[in-house]
Amino acid sequence: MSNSKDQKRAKADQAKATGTPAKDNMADWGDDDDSYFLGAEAALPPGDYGETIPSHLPDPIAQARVLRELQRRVRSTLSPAFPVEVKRPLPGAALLAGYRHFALRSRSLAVDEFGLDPDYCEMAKPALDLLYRRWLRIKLKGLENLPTDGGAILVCNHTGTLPYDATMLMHGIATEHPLHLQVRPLLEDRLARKAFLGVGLRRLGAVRACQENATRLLGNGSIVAVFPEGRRALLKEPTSPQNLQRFGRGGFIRLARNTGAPLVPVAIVPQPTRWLPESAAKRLQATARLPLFPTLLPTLGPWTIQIGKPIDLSAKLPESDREERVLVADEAHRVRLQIIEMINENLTSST
Amino acid sequence: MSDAPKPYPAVVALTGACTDLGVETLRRLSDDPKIETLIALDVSPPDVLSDKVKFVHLDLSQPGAGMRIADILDEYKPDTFVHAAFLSAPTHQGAWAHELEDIGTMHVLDACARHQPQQLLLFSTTLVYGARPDQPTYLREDAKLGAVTKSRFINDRIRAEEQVLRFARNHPGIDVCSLRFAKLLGPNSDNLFTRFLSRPVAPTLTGFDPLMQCVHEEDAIRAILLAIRQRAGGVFNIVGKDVLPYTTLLALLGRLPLPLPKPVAKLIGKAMWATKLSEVPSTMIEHLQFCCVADGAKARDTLGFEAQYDIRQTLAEFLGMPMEPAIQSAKPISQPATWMN
Repeated sequence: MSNSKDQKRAKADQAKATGTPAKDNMADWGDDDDSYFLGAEAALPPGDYGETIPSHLPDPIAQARVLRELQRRVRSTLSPAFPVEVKRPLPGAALLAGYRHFALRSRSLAVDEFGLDPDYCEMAKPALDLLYRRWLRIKLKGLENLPTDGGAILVCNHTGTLPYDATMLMHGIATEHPLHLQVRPLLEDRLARKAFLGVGLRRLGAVRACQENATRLLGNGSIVAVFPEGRRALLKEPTSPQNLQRFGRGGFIRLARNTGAPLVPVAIVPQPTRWLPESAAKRLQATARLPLFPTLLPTLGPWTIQIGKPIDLSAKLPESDREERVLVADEAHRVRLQIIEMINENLTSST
Repeated sequence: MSDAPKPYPAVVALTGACTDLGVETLRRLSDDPKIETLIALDVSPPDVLSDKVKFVHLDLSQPGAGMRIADILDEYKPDTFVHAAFLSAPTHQGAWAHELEDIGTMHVLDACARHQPQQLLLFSTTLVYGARPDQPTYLREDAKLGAVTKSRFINDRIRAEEQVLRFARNHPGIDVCSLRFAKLLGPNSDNLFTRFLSRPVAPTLTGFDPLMQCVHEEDAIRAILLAIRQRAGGVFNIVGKDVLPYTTLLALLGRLPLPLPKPVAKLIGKAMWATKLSEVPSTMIEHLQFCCVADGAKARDTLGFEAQYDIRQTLAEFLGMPMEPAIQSAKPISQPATWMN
């Protein structure tokens, strides 16, 4: 070790002394070849150099990525019109924050996946409460029948023209049930696509009725309310609420069977009346031959909402199309009869 | 679907190399040591610093584009062919856009049928589902594509998607993958939605407030890389976490909503499009009326893609400034069963 160092030093001293080191070495470099200056001699010839020594430097690929990201950020800040130092956070940031606060006053920052807006619900609560307690004076019976673990399908009859029945059911269960369960009514298409009404109901928790949406909701463990009478309910006579219309095509039976959720029949029973205001509207329609039109306020109370005993369909698994059709038809009929029975009970008990 | 891992791609060709997603894909792939060559096809060289990237000039709107792609495929023999040459926003030159997107896809498919790469990846959009009142809120990949839409921009994408789906049926040997991205937002994106949301005033339709869904560009890139590395096949919705109503989205961005009745909005939109004052044709107005939200469950289960940004973070990134802590920390409501007190 020390020897070689001494030799090198001696050589260097020699070179200093003579003052002409270059001339000696020129021959080795080769006059007409500039590969020396280009660093070709530094490249190692091919051969076996043993194990590769791991680099103590960070991963070059990761470094390249970091560099590229930096380059991208610099580029995105640069613009041809403004040099970097001019482009700063906007002076209007405080103004923007103020406006944002103003614009978000009645809406939440996060909605659930179907657009339920908790702040909007909170805002609508006093109005719904007034309707629930003062105008309709609703008696909610059978809350103990409501399954609390996992989803359930509430099968309800329609009452009135505007969806007061759905909102009242939703509000009643949310306020009177000890667990404050949130019911998600399924809205038929024509209602869901209406301007204002569709959006408002969606923010309160309603969802457009279709098998995909309902399956997703039940999968999350939500309670879904269906109104199988649909639009035909408009044709009902307000004086005889027990005359239910046809129950759709039995889609709710198929839903219950596919998801295993229990069916809960629910009867929403209005006070049978010949007067204010729906009955009057009906008679006006009949005499003046007008098309069907909704009355803004529902029939004056008291209403009764009766929740029936749950029906479990998960044990019945039909194998053929024939059996399925029979099952769907039978069960739909049974649920319909049960709701009619519940309506009749409540009508006789209230009079 | 076989369980054995598929071979990693070594050579990747990409059309539309200068698009937002295309250039970023090239950058990320050039960092990947297993990938040897990247063939960037476009009308101008992409802004990528890597010696792996070979730029080849290709104009898909030219009649001879099909033969040119075939020559390129013959020369480089890529394992994966990425078709990203789509416009980011509608253009007034409808005929040219049709040649580029619809016919350009045909050229790509012709060349792929001839040379059979292992994977064909298409960049699509969830706009192809259309916004209609009669569809479920969460659209799955097998949903019907927007049947009748008057928008040429969306129509071209639907035609391209249909061609690719037909190609996938006829060529089971090729893993044909289509990634349908929700509205792309982010600090570097420049497309229809970013331009639409960059204006201080944004139109809304009175009485309507559809749920909006977007995806951060970073998440989109991650999904693309996943699809290329796994050599995935099939259609996937690539969507961000959470949805928000349109008006809430505008409020978060600090844009002033301008409520207009639909006929009026349509009329104004038409006039502004005709005079080139607006970049969005009035034919896309139903996207302000009804939801067009896609379900990302298949990408999560099959591709292993989970979005990292939720919609509020995406909007903050798009805005380029942090929002208030309350907004940033708002959590999506996952279980609404008992929220009310």
